[in-house]
Amino acid sequence: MVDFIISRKLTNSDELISRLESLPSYGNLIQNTDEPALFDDEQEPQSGLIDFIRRNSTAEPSTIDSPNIIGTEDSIEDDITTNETASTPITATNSADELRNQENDDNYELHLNLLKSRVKHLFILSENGKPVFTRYGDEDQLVTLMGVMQTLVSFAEIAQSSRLNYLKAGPCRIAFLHREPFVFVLVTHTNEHSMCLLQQLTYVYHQIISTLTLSRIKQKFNAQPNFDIRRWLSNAERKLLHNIIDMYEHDLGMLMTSARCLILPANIRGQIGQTVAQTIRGQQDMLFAIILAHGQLVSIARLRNYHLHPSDLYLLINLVNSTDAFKGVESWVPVCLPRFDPGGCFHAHISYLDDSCDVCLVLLTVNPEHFQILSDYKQVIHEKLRKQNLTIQIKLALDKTRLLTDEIACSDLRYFAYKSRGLSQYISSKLLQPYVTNEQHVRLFELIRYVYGRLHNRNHNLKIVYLKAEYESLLAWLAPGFELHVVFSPYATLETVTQCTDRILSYIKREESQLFIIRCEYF
Amino acid sequence: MASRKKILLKIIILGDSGVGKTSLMNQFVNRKFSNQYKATIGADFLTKELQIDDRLVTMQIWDTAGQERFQSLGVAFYRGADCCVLVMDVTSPTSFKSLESWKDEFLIQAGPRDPENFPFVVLGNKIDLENRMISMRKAQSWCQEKNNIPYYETSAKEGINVEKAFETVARNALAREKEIDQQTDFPMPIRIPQQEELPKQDGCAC
Repeated sequence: MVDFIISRKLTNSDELISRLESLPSYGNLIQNTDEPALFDDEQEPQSGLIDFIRRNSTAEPSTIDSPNIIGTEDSIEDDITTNETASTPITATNSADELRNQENDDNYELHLNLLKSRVKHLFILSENGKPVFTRYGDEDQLVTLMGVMQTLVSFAEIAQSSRLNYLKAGPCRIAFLHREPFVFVLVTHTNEHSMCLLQQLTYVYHQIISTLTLSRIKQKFNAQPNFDIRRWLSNAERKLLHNIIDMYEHDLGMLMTSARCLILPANIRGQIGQTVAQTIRGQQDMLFAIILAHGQLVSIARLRNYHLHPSDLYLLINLVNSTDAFKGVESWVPVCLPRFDPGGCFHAHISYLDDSCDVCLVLLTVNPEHFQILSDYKQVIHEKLRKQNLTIQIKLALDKTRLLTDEIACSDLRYFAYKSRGLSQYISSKLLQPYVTNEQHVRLFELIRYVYGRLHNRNHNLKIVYLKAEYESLLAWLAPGFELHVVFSPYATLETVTQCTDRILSYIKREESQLFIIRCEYF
Repeated sequence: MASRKKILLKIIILGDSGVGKTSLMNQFVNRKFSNQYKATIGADFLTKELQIDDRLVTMQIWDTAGQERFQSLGVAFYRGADCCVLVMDVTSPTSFKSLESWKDEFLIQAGPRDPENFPFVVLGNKIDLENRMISMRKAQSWCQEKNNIPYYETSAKEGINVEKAFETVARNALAREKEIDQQTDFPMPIRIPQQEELPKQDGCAC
């Protein structure tokens, strides 16, 4: 990928800022809704919270407040320190010559070539240096490499409070994340911001504890430090790991930690939400009832005071999308949502509300005995939604392809993504030419992640980043109430950029009620 | 819980500087011996696949530096080891004396469950040399005292007993693996937080 030309920043960037900020549509949008947030993307994960809820489910829930602490441990640090350990005293591995004698010589060569290729590698190893997972290839062939990676991480940590975060080796960048009892390593040749690399590793970490539960993993390693955790990872769990990595490359919501909603008239969405909430009302063990359609959020109802973190929502979406096994049956799956409680397990009742399996209902409870209760709820919800023709409405909305760029009508506009910061939700236009191929899609999103990283760099405190790249121009704008990423043709003028941004903001203001879930439904 | 076809074993090689740890490893993995002495810096890794009865075993061999100056890594290196190979030089009484402290060091750092039965193997290397100082009997009796650690006399240079010694290493590690597997994993009890640990009741306005 050589298409990246470093930014020629607009010399008149001040002018752009002042023009954008004086747009009437901007003024309309910043005073955001005072509605209680649907999501809480600053929620601090709490170990033992699920046990606590389980124990107190008969008590008044209003006595418990999820703490809302800013700056979680999991939040991504902007200023990633580069720990220069390139001179670490290690003899990596013997040269290829010395390994000629090995029986699986061919295999080894194949893997060596794979490692050298420019694909984005992701490895997981346990703290004891044993391989757990590799995105490409076979981790059995990477046993030596995993040992080296463990040693690199350990060397950096000899000095108290020092950690290896990031290495640069020629054109290649390597990000590390050490979360007991795992080490996550990402190798990339792209321009993605290091903050995004760390975010990808964190998603993978969350995915693995979502399936295995952190406390259970830690307990096992305490009892048996030499345990090979691969024995707990069947193909289904590996697929979840592969999917979450792929999903990140194709989805800006994971980057912006915000949920994507199905575009739906507000009254329809309201009816759906109320139907679900009314059905469940009074049940204290249940926390969340979510309706999804093709990975988009249709409605969410929850117990008062408990928030779902958007990154946990993506784990649920990944789970639902990972297999066809959920189709046609009711499933009962233990799932850990690490941003809610890394130490406990929810039980998810997963089922579909229509025959063609487009509309999925996920009910989350802390009570492992409640399958039957939730199954009954599902029946009632299914019936009510069907009778009120609401399921059909969801399907109609799904079938209606909304390009959004058409509705905004601006010839230089190619793509935009808008996040409401107050709602932790985002909307984006459909990707059109030239971004319809997987390669171009991934390339564009890598570019957006690069700009995103610049925008969110805490040291710079930027409001706007404008990047003129070879094949497109990108605008990123961080305002008090929203975050906007727009892709223009490379020839877009300042005039067009301002005008087009105005149209996008006006459009969103006008259509807000159907683009986002504004009202929260409680059981 | 599906049992994997391939078993991965983490093997640590310990012993004084210059006793031939790297040479033994190279002899075992590559069937090669080099007369040149190259101090291992930090750690070196090699991988070898072995067939033990019906199991395919991948040995991940961690060759650590004998020199004191690299000792700081301790825990990180030893954690999760499946077997530990202690090496001495039969021409060097000091290296024989050190076995005890290497063994202790390993047990302290790795902290394996049931340290009494952790699989060790002792290798007396350099038997091809003339000036032998530690007799086989002396070494064997030390091993017997330590809960019957298997002892092999090897020559990395001539390739004597190296294969056999490492096969024993793999077998013993496998045997322990099996033993642990037979202990059932009890589902963990649900921990109910104490009163003090209740979630804090501050903050969230919603």
